[in-house]
Amino acid sequence: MRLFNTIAGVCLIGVAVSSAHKGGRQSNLPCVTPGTQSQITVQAIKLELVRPDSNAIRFRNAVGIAGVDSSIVAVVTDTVICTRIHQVVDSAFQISPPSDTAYLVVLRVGPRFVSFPSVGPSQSALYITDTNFVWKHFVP
Amino acid sequence: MTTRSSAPPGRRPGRLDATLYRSRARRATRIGILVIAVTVVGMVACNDLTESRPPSAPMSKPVVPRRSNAVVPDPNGKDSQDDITFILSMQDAGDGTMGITNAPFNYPFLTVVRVVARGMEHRTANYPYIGEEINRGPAGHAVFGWFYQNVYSGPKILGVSTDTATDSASAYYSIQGAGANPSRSGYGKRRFDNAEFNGEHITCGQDNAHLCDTWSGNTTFEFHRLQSQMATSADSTSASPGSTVTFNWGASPAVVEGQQMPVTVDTGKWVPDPDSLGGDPNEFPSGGSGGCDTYNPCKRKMLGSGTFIIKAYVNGKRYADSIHVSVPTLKLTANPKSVVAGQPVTFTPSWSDGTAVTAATMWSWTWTPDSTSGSTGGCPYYQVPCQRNVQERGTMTVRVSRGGVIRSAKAHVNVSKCPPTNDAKLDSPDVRAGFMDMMKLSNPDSTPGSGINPADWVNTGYKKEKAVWIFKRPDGSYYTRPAEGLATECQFQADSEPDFPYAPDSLVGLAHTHPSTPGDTVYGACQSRDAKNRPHPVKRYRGDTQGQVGLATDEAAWGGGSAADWATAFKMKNIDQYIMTKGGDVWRLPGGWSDSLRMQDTSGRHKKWRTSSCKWP
Repeated sequence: MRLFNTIAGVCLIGVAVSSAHKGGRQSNLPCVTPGTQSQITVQAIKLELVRPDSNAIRFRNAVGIAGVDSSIVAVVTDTVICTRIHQVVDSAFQISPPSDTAYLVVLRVGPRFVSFPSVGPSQSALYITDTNFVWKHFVP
Repeated sequence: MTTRSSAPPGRRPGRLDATLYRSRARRATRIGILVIAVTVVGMVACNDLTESRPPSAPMSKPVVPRRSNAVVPDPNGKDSQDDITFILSMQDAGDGTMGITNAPFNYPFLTVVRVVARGMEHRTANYPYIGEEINRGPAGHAVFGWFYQNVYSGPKILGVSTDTATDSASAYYSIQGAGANPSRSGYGKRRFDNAEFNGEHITCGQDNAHLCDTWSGNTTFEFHRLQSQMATSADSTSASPGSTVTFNWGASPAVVEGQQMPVTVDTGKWVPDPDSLGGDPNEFPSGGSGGCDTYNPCKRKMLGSGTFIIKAYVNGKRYADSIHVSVPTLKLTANPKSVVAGQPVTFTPSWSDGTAVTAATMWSWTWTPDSTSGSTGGCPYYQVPCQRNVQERGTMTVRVSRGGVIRSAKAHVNVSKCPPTNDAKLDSPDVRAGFMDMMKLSNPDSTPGSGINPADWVNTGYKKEKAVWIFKRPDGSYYTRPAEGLATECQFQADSEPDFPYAPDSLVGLAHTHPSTPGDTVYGACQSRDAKNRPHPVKRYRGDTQGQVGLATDEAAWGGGSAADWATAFKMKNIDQYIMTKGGDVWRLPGGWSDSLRMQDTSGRHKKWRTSSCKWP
C-alpha cells in the first residue's frame, strides 16, 4: 500500500511538472528583426510621432507617446524584453499554451514598448505596454 | 478599422411678354365689375307682375357633361327658404281686413316664388233683411310687398277680384328683399242711414254706432321657392397651351313652372394647380371674372393646368362646382442637380405630352443665383438643351412658347462649397450625398460601447461602421447604394458583390466609414492574430471578459486603411476601396494594391470631406 502510494505520488509530481512545462513556463523568445513589410510599419510609427495633424496628435496622446523624438525610436533586440512582451500579450488575450514562437517586432518608443506582428494580415495591430511590462493599449 | 470583405433665331424675347401683361391687366379690370355684371340672370315673367328683367342668354350645349353640383349653404345664412307659410289675423271685422305684424319672409338673392293665399271670408249681417250672407275668396284682396335696399316693391296683389267664392289665389313673383305688409284688403263696409227694410229703419255701418256686418274667416299665405339647381359645363377638360376653353353655367332646369330661373354668381375664379402638378405660378388665383377673357359664357385661353370654380345662387340658393382642366406641363430638368462649383450642368426642357421643345419655340434662359450675385448666367435663348458651368447655387428658368402663350419652368442647382477632389467618383454630388448619409448612419458621435446588448452585441449598438457600393451609369454619372453586412464599431463585413442587380451600370467602388477618431475606444468584432493564428480580440461590449479594449488607429499611419482594409483592396482588384473617417478624411485604397504599397501616393489618395471651410455635399 505504501509502495502504491509512493508510486502514485511520483506520478502526480510528474504530471505536475509536465503541465508546468506546457502551460506555465515560456521559452525564451528572441526579438524578431523587421523585414521589408515590418520596416514600413516601423517607418509609419516614426512618422506618427512627427505628423502635425490633429489625428496624429490625438493618437500620440491616447497611447502615451506624445513628445517622443522619432529619432530615438529603436528596434529592441534584448531577448529578455521580447520574451516578456510576448508573455504580456499572451496574458492579455488569455492565450494558452503560451507562445513558443517569436512573432512580434518590439520597438522602444520613449516610455512605451510598441510591438506588432512581423508578418501577415495583423501587422497593423499594435500592442503597447509601458517599460515595466504593464499592459496599456491594443490597437487592432 | 478592420473591414473584411470577402467579397430660331431672329425673334427677340419680350414682345409676347408685353402682350401677356396687357392681357392680364385687361382681365384684372374686368374682375372688378364681375359681381355687378353677373346678376345676369334669367328673370321672371310673372303672371301679374309688371317688373321683369331680360332672361339670361340660353346656355350653350355642354360638350362635357358635368356631375351634379353641390349645394353649399351660404355661410351667412342667406339662402332662400324653400317654403314659408304664415297666417293673417283679423284686423277689422267690419270689412274683413286681415294682416300680420311682421312679414316672416326674406329673400336676400333674387328668387322666383309661387305665392298662394288661401282661405275664405264670410260676411254675416248684423241686422235682418239687409242682405244675404256672402263668402269671398282672397283673389284681388291678398296683398304683400318687400323692401330691398330701402326701396319698396309693391303692393303686389294676388289675382283679380271677381267677388267669387274661390278659396285661393296664386301668382309668381321674383322677389329680392324682406317682406312687407302682407295683408288681405277688406271688402268694404256697408252703411245704412235710417234705411227701411221690411218696415224697419236701420242705421248702421261706417261712421255709425254699429257695424252692419261682421266678417270672419282666415287667410294663409304660402311662399314656395321654385326648385332648380346649378349646371356647369366645359367644352374640354384637357387643353393645349394657348387653346381656349369655354365654361358655361346656368340653372337646371332653366325654366320651372314657366318661370325663368335666376342665377346670381357669387364667386367665379381660376385657381392654378401647384407648380409641381402643372399649374403656372404666374396665374395667381383670380376672382371676379374668374380669369375669363370673355364672359358668359366664360372663355379662357389656357396657360397651365388649373380649376375653374363657380359659386352662384340659383333661384336664391347657393351652389358650387368646379371644373379641372389639364394642360401639358413644361418641365425643366437639371443634370446633375448638385455640383462642385464650375462643373457643367445640362438643363433640358420638355413638355409632359411629349411635344418637342425646339429652338423655334425657345424664348429665354435666365439664371437667378440664390445669393445677390453670381457669374453663371443663362444660355442664348435659342439653345436647347442649355449647358452651363455652374459657379454658384441658383435657379435656371426657361421660357418656351406654345400656342401663342409662354410657359416657364425652373430647376434649382445646388453647388458644394468644397473644391473638386479630381476624383470623378468623389466629385459626384450623388456619391457625396451617399457618403454623407453613410456617415450619418454610423452615428459617429455616439459614446463608444453605447447601446450594445451583450446578448446580441453584433446587431445592437449605436455606433457602426457602414458601407456603400459605388456604381457608374452608362452616361458616366455615379451613385451609391447601401451595402448590407454585419457591422460593429470597428469592423464591417460586406458581401463580395451587391446582392441586387445593377446592370447596365458598373460596380466601381466600395466605401465604408471609420466612425471613430484616432485613439478613441472601440468595441466590436475586430481582432488580430498571433503566429499560430490564435485570435487577439477586442472586447465586444463593455464588461466583456474576453479580449482587450481597442483603440482606433490613425488611418494616415497605415496609408488610409487597416491591414484588413488593404487586404480587401487587394482582393477586389477592379474596384477602389474608400475609407471615410470621422475626422473628415476620405482615403482611396486602389483596387489590386497590396499592403506593401500602402504608403505610396498617400497625398494623392487622401481627400477631405470636411474642412474648416466646407463640408460635403
